[in-house]
Amino acid sequence: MRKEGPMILTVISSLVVVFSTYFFLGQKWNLMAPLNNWFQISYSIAMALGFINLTAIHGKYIQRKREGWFYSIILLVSMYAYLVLGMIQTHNGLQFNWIYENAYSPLSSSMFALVAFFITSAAYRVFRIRTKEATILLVCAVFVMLGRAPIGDAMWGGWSGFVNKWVMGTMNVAGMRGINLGIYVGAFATALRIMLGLERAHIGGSGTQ
Amino acid sequence: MERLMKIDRRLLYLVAVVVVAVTVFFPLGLPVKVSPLAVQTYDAIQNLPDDSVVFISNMYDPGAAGELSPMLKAMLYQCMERKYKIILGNTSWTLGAGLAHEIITPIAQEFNYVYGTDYIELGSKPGGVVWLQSARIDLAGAALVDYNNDPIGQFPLMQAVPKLTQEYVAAALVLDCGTPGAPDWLAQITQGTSMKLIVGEIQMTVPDALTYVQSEQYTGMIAGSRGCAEYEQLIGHPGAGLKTQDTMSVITLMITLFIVLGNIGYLARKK
Repeated sequence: MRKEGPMILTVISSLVVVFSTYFFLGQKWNLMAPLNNWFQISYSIAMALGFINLTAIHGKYIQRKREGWFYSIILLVSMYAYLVLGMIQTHNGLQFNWIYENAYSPLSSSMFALVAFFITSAAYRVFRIRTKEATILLVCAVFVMLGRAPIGDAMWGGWSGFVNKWVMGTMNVAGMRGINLGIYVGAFATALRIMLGLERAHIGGSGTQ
Repeated sequence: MERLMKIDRRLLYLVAVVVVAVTVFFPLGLPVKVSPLAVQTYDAIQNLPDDSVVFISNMYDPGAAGELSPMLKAMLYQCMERKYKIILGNTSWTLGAGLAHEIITPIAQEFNYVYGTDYIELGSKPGGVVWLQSARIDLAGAALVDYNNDPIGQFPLMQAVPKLTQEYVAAALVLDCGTPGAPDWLAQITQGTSMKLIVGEIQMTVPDALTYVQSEQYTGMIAGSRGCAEYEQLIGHPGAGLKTQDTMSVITLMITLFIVLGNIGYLARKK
């Protein structure tokens, strides 16, 4: 029953969702409402599970004095200290907000900003005129980059904007539509497999049947 | 010449830092041409009926705040100048709620907006797509409390908007940087309705979002920091979007130069 139970639950939930979405009676009876509430509750419980999981993993690192275990101590101390502070003060608390605005927010933005440096280095190393296709890619990339910056308009007038618009608006949209269609067809197929119990990786099974 | 292929990446990083620092202190003042897409977005918001209610959803966290917070600010300026009622909130982007609160509070004071009547902050609600489905049927039931943990049923604005549907909300302005995001708003809330969906995207997600703009599923789009600069010019409130354009120009030129140098070295080695 350990494997059959979750599978039965998955199939019943899926059928409720399909019935509620695509059939008039399902919408009239509003079967999704309790399901939505249960989902939101389980979503919140998943956050708590994340805490427990992180504590277990980094607790083991500290216990075994694995390389970098000092950082695990910092992680756990800061995680629980901020949690306790938030529980005492709520998100409107002075110290809680101060840490968020002056520590977390700038750190998070800086991590994202690091991408700019990686892109600089990657563009320099990767964009090589090795083949015809690579050359076309390189030329398009340069035009798109310069077209998005005011320097492109300053250098070439409206021409860079025109090329950028054509590359993004015609070639890119055509390619992205094809990619998105493939993604959604694949997602539909996977959802169908989960609903029919053919896909078991999410319940700890050996994968597909 | 072949050494051009092997420039130490630390030197590249140093040049990038110097270039950014110089343009911050000595801006070039390059003009930013306004694109038709920015005009379309501006008009879409501007031409909503008077006394409209708009739902602004800040679906981002501090990582994307550099690009999206200036867009949020600009959107709030335009909406408050048009005297729209504003509901501000998001789902699943917990860390974005504080960012939005910091942005809307001084702007609301500037325009003498009354909390609960002219605008309200819902904060961040768990559930993603599921929350959107619930809000479409019963917004108060889905939200329960506002950003300050006060029951939302007491606020006149929320009493006037029982559901997240076209009858009560004229437009959804969604600032998007991942999942859940604008496509979920499209699928759950606006598709097949007269509610307009106007989005603000980070540059990375613009290629995907353009497909929705072309099919008119998105009524308008602010495309990255360049789009934000154009939009700020249109609303007459220059901000961080415009300020970053010179830096973006110089960084783009620098990357192009590095690509050219790398290829010169590559071709020299091939010979």
